[in-house]
Amino acid sequence: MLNGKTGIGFRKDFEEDFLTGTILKPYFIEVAPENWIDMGGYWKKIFDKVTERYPLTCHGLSLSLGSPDELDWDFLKKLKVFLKQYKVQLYSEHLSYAKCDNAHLYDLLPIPFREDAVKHIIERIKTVQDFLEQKIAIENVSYYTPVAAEMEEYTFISEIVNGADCRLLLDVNNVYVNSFNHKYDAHDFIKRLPLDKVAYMHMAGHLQVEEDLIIDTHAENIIDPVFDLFDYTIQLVKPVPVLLERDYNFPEFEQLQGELNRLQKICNNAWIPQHAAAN
Amino acid sequence: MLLQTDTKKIQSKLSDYCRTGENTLTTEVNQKRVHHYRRLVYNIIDDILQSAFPVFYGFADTKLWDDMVNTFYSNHACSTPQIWKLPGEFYQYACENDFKEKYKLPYLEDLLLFEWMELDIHTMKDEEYPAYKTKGDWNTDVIAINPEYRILSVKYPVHTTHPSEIKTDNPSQYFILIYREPETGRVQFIDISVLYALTIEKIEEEKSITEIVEELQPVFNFPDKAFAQEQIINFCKDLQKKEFVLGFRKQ
Repeated sequence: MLNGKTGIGFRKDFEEDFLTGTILKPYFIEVAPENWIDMGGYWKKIFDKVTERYPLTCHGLSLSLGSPDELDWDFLKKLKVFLKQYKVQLYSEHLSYAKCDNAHLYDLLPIPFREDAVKHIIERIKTVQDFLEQKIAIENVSYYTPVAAEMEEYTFISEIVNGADCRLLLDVNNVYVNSFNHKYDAHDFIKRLPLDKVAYMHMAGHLQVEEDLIIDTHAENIIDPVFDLFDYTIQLVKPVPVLLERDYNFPEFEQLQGELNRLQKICNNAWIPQHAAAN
Repeated sequence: MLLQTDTKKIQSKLSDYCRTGENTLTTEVNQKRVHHYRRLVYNIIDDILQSAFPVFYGFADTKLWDDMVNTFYSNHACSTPQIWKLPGEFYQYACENDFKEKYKLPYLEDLLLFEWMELDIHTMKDEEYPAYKTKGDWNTDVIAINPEYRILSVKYPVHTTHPSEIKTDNPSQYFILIYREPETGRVQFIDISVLYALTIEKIEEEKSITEIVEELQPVFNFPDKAFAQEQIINFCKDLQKKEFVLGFRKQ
């Protein structure tokens, strides 16, 4: 059971410490299945060892739920096998698109917040859930410009999550980034989301590149205001797994474990009394 | 399709801009910020190709490299959902669009192939190893080989010579055995002769070395068949030390 526990994204850079576990001590790890499906050789051996040691969650990159293109059934078939093989109970994807006109972009582009897009994505999520025989979680993404938006972002997310009856991966850093970039109140935004559907949370660092723009880099330490927003948010949701995303510019492992410890402490303060009351 | 044409068009324009750098969006986006998407997407592609082709990237000047990456990404619809497989599409694109002629680099295809194969063999799906025994008759038993390999045929010595020193006026034929060590997963490559390249091909067909020498006799016209056989056996013994030859197939 990973609810209320903290994990970290497995990176090849951390391989040795994940296997020896001397400094980094996550309760679980997360990978992008795209990076491991079909992988053999040295990294397959390492991956198998690491997944024997830690529970695994998966966070996809290429399903492109918001794409105008057809779903990639060859990829979905491989994904289903992978999720079963590694007994992945929690699979999430981004509320964005990463493929258009049959060309993969390998990054997350913002979808127009529009009613037709809502309907389109609901159908796609339902199709994916039926095929994978499990509910998926979709993540609110960071974005740097709205694209021909006709509704509020929280309405867009809520209508999709409710309409598709899927789960929500709430990325608190993304809410912070978007609230800064698009000048809205992050607390108010979070309250408007379908918080009863939150099944997973992400936390990460970001980089301010212009006076009025933050980029979601996953390459910096988490700043205090994002920790504060996380603390606020978890008072409003039931215990779920929480992941620290760090993809580049790695600090010493002690620093990363320090961030994990801080997240875990916030989780424990908010959620452990709930467990006790429930028991 | 529940998506309206207008929404689809806007999505297409944004993705086109990310791929080509040509912005046809107007009021649909914040013009001051949309360039970040082109920058972020392009950097991802550039980074993956730089790390896949370190020798060529290190040799090529920035303008040449950027032009190749831009041409590829603008014109090619990347088909793999797994970005670590993309360098293979770059290699294919370079061949299909005659980059070696366009950029006046005759050895380009060979170098890209060699660098891509090193990565491809390192990450390729695990192959099923044949059942084998460690003791047998080198002359009459079928040799068991590591299935995780490729033999590359190239015209320039890209595996032994830095691109700056490759003489382009005298192409020849080189064979490179490239394989993955079973235990460590490390990729090794060995420069081999055409005789040994054909020998490995015949071993794959489950021929014994005695049979191989007989079959290759019309091709090479060995003056001394026994000596040729001894040479091939020595070659196989050396490959056993290098973890390419596993032993002898169990019948």
